[in-house]
Amino acid sequence: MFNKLDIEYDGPPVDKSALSLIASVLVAGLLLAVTITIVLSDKGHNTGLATVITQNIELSGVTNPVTAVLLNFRAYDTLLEIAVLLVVVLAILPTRDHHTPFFKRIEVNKQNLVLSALQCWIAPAVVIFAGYLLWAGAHQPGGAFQAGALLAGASVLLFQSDTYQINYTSPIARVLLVLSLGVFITIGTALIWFEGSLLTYPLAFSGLLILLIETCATVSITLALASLYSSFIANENLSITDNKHRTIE
Amino acid sequence: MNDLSSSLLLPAIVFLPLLAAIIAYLIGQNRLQGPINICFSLAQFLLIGLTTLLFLHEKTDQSERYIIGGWGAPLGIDLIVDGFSILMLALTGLLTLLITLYSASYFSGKYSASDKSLRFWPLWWLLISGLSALFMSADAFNIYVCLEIIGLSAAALVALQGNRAALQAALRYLLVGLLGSLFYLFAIAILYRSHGTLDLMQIAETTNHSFPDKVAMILITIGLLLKIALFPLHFWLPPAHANAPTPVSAILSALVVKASLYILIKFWFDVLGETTTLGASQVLGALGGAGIIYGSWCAFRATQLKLLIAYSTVAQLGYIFLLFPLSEYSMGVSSFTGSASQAAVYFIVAHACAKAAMFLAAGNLILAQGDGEIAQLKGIAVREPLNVLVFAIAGISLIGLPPSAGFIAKWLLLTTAIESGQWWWVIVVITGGLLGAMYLFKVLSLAFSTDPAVIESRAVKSTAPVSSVSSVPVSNVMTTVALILALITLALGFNAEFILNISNTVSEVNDI
Repeated sequence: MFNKLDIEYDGPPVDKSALSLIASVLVAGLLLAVTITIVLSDKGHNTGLATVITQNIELSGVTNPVTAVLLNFRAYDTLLEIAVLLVVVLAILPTRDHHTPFFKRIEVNKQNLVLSALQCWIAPAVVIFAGYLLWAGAHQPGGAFQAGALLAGASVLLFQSDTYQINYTSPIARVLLVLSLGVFITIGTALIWFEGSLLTYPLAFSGLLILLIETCATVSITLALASLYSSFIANENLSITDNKHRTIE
Repeated sequence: MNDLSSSLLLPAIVFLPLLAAIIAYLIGQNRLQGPINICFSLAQFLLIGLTTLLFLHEKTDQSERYIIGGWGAPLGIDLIVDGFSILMLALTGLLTLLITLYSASYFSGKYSASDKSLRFWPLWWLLISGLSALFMSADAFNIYVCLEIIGLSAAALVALQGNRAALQAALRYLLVGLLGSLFYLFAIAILYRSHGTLDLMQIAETTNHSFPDKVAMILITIGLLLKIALFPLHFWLPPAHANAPTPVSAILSALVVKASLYILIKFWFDVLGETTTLGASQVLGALGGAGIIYGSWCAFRATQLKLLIAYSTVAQLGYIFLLFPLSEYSMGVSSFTGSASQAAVYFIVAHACAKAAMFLAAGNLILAQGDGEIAQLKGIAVREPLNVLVFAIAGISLIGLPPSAGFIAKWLLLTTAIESGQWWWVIVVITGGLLGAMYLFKVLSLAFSTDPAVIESRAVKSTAPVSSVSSVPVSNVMTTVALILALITLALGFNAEFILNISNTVSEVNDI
């Protein structure tokens, strides 16, 4: 893996600025540790918002306090965090051709037995488990971010053989990447119309709406994380082909 | 729907740019991209204008709150607007409209590769929504999320330029921004532990001289100073602002650094006002003063036009930090009232307009010249008279000569310094003004030099078939936008009452 890395470094063998950077980071870390110990020695004033959350959890539509905070009490923060995720995707997105289809399967002659067996056995199980995590987020730890991370892990496994390819700039990929933000905004603003305030879920539908938002978020998070991984793979492949061209010339 | 807090306006100001980002991303490379974005910026401008008018019409001493999700602080998140944030919002709306107009020409494919627009527009709108959300936030953690949106999208926008220098600058900008955010986040964790709430007003009510609060204030100050680029922490700003695409440079210097400054002012005077000391404010003022001298000197030494303007931002930020020592300090609490705060608010507005105008004009000059070297600008006033005029007007405002917004801002600063008996800041301000005149007149005298030999050689050079640098005629829209910003800078100099009225509202709100 590492012998394929192609990084040019033309600085001196011992970089003075790097040394000073390491030294300053060490000093800063020491100061930080001292500060943390001093601050923690001071007694906290109260128990935070835990009591308020347990009092209001009945009204949130879910029973898991973390999900209640993320998707109901502080849903506005989560909405903006999904926007942060979109910023990251936009920053690393490849800008090559977007005419190839969203999902492509290439027949490879040489099959790696272990890898294909892993793909056949583990990937479907991971997908099902991600679905379970998403569903279970309402009453126990889990939810969109965990499910999305799992699915992205499954996609990494699938990308290991060059059989599957995803074009992240195709129209479908774009729609899926902005799906969560779009749905979140739509629901949030629609609720102004129905309930009179931004992101105020009606009690009867709050569980359902939260599940809908989380499902869309799972799709977008999966694709975003997978695109992060694929962009590295693509760069590596690109440098390999470059090298080949060089040797031919 | 007369009541601002019950209306849709406040959330719409955040959500409209988000929607614009989604649509800009979905339509991708399309000829409609420019017109659609201009429509969105117009709608955003009207929304913010309406909000400002409603706020001024109500004339309340209180700040307006909008409760999201019906929970209310401390459980939920609130949006809040007071005079200062309305002013910053209005500034955001104005600059969004004008720079979007500029960018629609800049990214139309004539001046830059078309795949850049694919990234630019969504990132641009996300940046705008982050800024708008930040100026309305009433929640400490929500501010952190907004800072993340702003920092990440700004770094990605700098990287858009694609050359080696821009990528290096963007990476450094990203890392510095993340470090600053982490300092802030650590402080928020401490504040939550000792106050049990994240709402800024509720934290303010229970703030005392306790040790954790002081540590939190120090961490917030360090983190935000990194993001604002006050003098010893300014190292990342000149390369980032100089290497970004022109509209990005304009918004970075005009608003993005001010966003962190806004948060610092809010914490320093409102939220954790109890923990500030006279000595600390003098230190901030001294750093600001050093920034004025050092930034101006580096600007004078700069050989690239955009680097000169970026160093000028370092210097101008120094002036705003004189707010901290000059503000009224009574009973252990410094307050954001009186003439010092007025001077700072005026300075923020004046600098935002003048610096945006200057960056846009400089971008036009560089496009016309095909090169960013200052030495290459000799005699350019003949070919690009309007852009040189814009550069001159913006320069007058930055130096602080009448009649310009910069003059009023400096006048307020000087009178405050004399009234409060801190005469040493007068010397710093005047020296900074002289240095500013030095580096700006250096450029202008080059631009206006009518050395016939130079013009002749230029004529010869332009007829030469192959040139290492390519120059393109600058579109009228881009010149006009820069001119409008310059005229606004002048108009603010003639009509100081308008801004000062809003900043009066600020002092009333913060008296609570």
